[in-house]
Amino acid sequence: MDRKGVIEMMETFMVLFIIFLLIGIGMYYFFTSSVKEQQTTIKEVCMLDATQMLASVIVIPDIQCSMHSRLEPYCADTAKLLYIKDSARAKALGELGACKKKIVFQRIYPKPEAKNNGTECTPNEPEACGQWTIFEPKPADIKGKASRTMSTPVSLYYPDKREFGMGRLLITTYTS
Amino acid sequence: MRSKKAQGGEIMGLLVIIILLIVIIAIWVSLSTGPPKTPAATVSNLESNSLLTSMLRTSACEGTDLEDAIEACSEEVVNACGQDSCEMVSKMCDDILTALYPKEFAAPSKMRFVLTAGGKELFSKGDKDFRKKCLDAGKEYVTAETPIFPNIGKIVLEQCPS
Repeated sequence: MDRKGVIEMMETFMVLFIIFLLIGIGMYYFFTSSVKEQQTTIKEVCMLDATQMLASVIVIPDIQCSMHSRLEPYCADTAKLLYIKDSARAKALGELGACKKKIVFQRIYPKPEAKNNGTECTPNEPEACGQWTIFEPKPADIKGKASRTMSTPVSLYYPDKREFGMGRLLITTYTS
Repeated sequence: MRSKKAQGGEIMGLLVIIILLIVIIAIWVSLSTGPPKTPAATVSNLESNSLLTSMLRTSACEGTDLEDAIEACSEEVVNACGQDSCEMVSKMCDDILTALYPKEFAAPSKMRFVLTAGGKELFSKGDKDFRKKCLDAGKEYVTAETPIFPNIGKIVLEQCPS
């Protein structure tokens, strides 16, 4: 092979090398951005899921309050909240969808005593407490994941006193 | 027959076209699969409707809810639950809103709440020029209204979701 041929071949190899290098870099950035975008999509889907859940949790018969056989909108029966925790329904609510969720009803008005603010309401302690956790993912399932909370005001019905208070339904989503 | 040099140039051209096509397809795919956005107004509307409905039904004392107290105040019935009905309405609204939205109603407010009954404003919370400030900041202005039946008045909640 003459000298000119060798130079042309080297030139071709150089061009091919640069082209493959560019393709490689392009693919790397494309896949990196794809992964990031996918994570953003998951977060967005989770938020949409949580938004829908804010409206749908409150109309579940196991939670919604009824007066004179009529279902009340945006109202949770505190007696029902005591018993739905860790039930199959609660588990389905928290685990359904794109990501795991923590579902909590918080007492807001009348304001609970400061010492009871974070205290969980249970069948043994339905009064001196501040919140009802319907579902909470296991710590191992949410370890290292970012959380975001969405909430909406709701009525809380106390059937023993036949009174309505105000509360907040909080849904925390966990995404990686 | 063409020279080898000319053939090499054609191959290069073909490669450039293929690369360009790959880049265009990649950009198109990444743009077409954008995530669906949650409209701030949807969450805001849900929040407003839920707040206004829940507030009206909140018990003031046994057998009397906030809606009854508002009605008493608008009809100038002084006594409700052994207290001045209008004072009780103001106190209850203020307590509920402060407990629910401690940050939103702190100055500068991110919300405005107005309760009107019997043709007069019974209670309001939040900056008076809230709407102007929201629109000046280029944000979306959302308002929700709940009537108090029978033709007693209305509750208006203005929001500026970010």
